[in-house]
Amino acid sequence: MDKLRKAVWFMDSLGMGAAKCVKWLILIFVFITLFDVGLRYFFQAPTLWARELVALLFGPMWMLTGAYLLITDEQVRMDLVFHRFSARKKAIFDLITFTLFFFYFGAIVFYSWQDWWICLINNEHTRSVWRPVLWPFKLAIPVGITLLLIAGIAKYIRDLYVAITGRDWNGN
Amino acid sequence: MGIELITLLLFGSMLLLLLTGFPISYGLGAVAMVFSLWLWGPESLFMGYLAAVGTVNYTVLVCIPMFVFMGMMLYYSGIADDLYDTFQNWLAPVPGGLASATVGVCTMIAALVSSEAAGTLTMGRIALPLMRKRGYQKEIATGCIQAGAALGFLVPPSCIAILYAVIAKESIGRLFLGGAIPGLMLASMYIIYITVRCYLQPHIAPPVPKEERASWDKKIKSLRHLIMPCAIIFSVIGTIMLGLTTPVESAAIGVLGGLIAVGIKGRLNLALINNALMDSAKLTSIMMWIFMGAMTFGQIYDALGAKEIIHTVTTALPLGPWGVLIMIQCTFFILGMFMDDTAILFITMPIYIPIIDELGFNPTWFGVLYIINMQMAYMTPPFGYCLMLIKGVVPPDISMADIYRSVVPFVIIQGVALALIMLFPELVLWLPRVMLGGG
Repeated sequence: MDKLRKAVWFMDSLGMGAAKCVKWLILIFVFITLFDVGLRYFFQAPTLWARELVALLFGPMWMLTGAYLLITDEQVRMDLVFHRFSARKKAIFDLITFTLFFFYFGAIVFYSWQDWWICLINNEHTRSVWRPVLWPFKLAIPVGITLLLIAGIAKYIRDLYVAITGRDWNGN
Repeated sequence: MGIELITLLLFGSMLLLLLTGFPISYGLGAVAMVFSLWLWGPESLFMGYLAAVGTVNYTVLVCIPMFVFMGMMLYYSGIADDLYDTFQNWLAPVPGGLASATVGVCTMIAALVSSEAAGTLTMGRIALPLMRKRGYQKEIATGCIQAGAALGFLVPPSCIAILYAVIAKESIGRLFLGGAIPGLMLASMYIIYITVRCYLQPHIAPPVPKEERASWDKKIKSLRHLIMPCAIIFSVIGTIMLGLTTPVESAAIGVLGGLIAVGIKGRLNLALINNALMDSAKLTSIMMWIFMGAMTFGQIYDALGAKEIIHTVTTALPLGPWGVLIMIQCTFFILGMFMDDTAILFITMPIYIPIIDELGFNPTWFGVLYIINMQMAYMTPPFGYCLMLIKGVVPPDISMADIYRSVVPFVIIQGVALALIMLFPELVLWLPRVMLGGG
């Protein structure tokens, strides 16, 4: 059991860690944008890359925060009855419905890696003046969804434990 | 099986799944994928991935985390405390002055912070104790906070306006400008109501005793608190209005302003930035994952032709354009009981906007109507997000029933404002036309 707890803790820490890294991107967006605005207004020399770079980095920011939201249970639920359930009942409901979660993200994680691979071997570039290589940015989708799935598996293990034993995940 | 039946089944099973408490973002996508597998086989699951890529491509939304982060910086800088100080110094002699000051500060906060939670939390902390100390009745004291805070939806910069603009393929600036006059109009209506009511019934809001009112000297001095907020409001919204910057650039400038505001107060530290960044990232991510789920769902009903069916059915109904418009708003009201504003937006707008276009209504105007509808949904049970939020900050002697009662007059005012805006679309459309030109 302790080994399992450790494994689940590790799976969670992947998603948590990713989110804690990508949140800094927001400040990077701000600085790049300000830099570009400054150059445009004071030197009449806007950059070619600033706007596109910010746009390309936005996807990774929210994609890689997805697992965090699952772990901390902050995704919005339609809360008419659910919040009144006991922890055990909640776990049982989630065990049933989260099979759909695995079906959905399991299907698209496959396509996302496949598509990323094609993008990598074809060495695709964006269609713009700056033309950066696309694959590092596109990597965010498969990685984000993979992290989400890992977090989902960790959640499933926790819910199974709660549903079977009726105790909380820490054994109390 | 007929398309009508499948459409019904699709929406029905989605609602049923969400009712079990399954997160909305996953639920929308998962139901769509199950139907897609059932109707078109395993190859069609690729659509789910296309929806993910499609969502990533909505890059304009990068201004959302920046606006949210800017708001948080300003929130932590204690700008609201200073503003309230100024407003109550000036409004103390007016009947119900403290309540009006609350609405006034909330309106300004709404223009700085793009979340309605900020208004509720700060005013619940600053204004409520003060009003109670002065003998204001519970209803007026909690009601004005919620009404004021809900203005955050309408007054630019507002997240929901950004999302609507993106879905409706409208310019964000146009939506911001469209919300400005209705927002100010609502704020004025609240203040007029408070003043008239407190004038007629002085016992619900006893006036501040003459000797405790601020001196002219103090009043003038307190005006300096307005400088910073006004400068930030101008540099963010003003620049968008004048077409000097894109929303993304304005947001970046706003963040700079927010950082300066916190810095001046000497409250800038790493822990604060850390928390504010995490919260901004989370809020954005929550919206984007719902968006992705809704995109998947949308692709399935597009492929099914369900859009056309809903379209034909609504336009064939013997209601006329106004009947359809009112029916659409009823669906907002009903959905507002179960779902949050972003989910409703992402699910319904791809269906409604073509209908609105065909009926000859203006999409900017429709967006403002939608936002006011959401405002009302947030202030009415059962979902009533504002109601739950304020319950968390009020002292225990104010019950949930008190809170429910307190919003009634303000919801009625919102209803009146909604009717006015429906009757006089110019209230929304005039400012964008003057500033940005075009229809």
